[in-house]
Amino acid sequence: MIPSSADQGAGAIEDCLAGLLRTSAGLQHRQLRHLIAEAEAHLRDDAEAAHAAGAAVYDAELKAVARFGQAMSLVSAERKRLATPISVLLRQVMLTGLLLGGVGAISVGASGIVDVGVVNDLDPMLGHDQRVP
Amino acid sequence: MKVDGVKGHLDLLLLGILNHTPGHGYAVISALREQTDGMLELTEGAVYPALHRLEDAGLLSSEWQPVAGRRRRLYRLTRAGEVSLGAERRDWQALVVAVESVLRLPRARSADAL
Repeated sequence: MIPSSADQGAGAIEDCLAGLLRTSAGLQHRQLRHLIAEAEAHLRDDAEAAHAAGAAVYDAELKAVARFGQAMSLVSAERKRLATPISVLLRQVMLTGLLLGGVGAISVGASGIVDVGVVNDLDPMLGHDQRVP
Repeated sequence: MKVDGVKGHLDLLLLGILNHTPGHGYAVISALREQTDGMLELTEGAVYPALHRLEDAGLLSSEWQPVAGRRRRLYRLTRAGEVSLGAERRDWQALVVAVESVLRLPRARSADAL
């Protein structure tokens, strides 16, 4: 097993992971932690395979990082996957609007019922004869 | 063949590979490369988001396990993943039959048809 870059000082894999971390704004901490752990395991597996095939440790890491590609492309693919689709956003806005409208309608209806009740109860006391149906 | 060559069939390939045995991302990419004699060389930037998307869709499940001294995220097919694989495999086979039938058309006949 190739010793980790943390044991050797900075290496290509360590630089790649740092790049991944730098470009990962917008991802939640848990997602980011999983992404970094998964990427690191992948890179070290790949470097190990290259090392076993005869490459020097430094070259093996460089090859693994080169094959892994741009950190940014992985992060943007993750962002795209995690982004809420516009249709879902629109549906949420519409549902919220309907909910607020419903609550408003119920409030108006309830206040009307209360009003009728109050008028019916108070009017006889006040000497008025009219009852609201 | 890069990702563009398998566009639309990436899910089928990933589900197909993981149907044999649960595996982590590196193993999936290596298996795809080896089983196709290097024809399918998929990038990590395509495979990992696809694995995560399939997991979001409930077709894969994942768990972190120590394998050979390293913590790895192992993916496996769920029951829904098996069903989806079956459906995607049938679609693929129907597509292959359709394309083959076009390619097998005799030259004169296809010219007549046009």
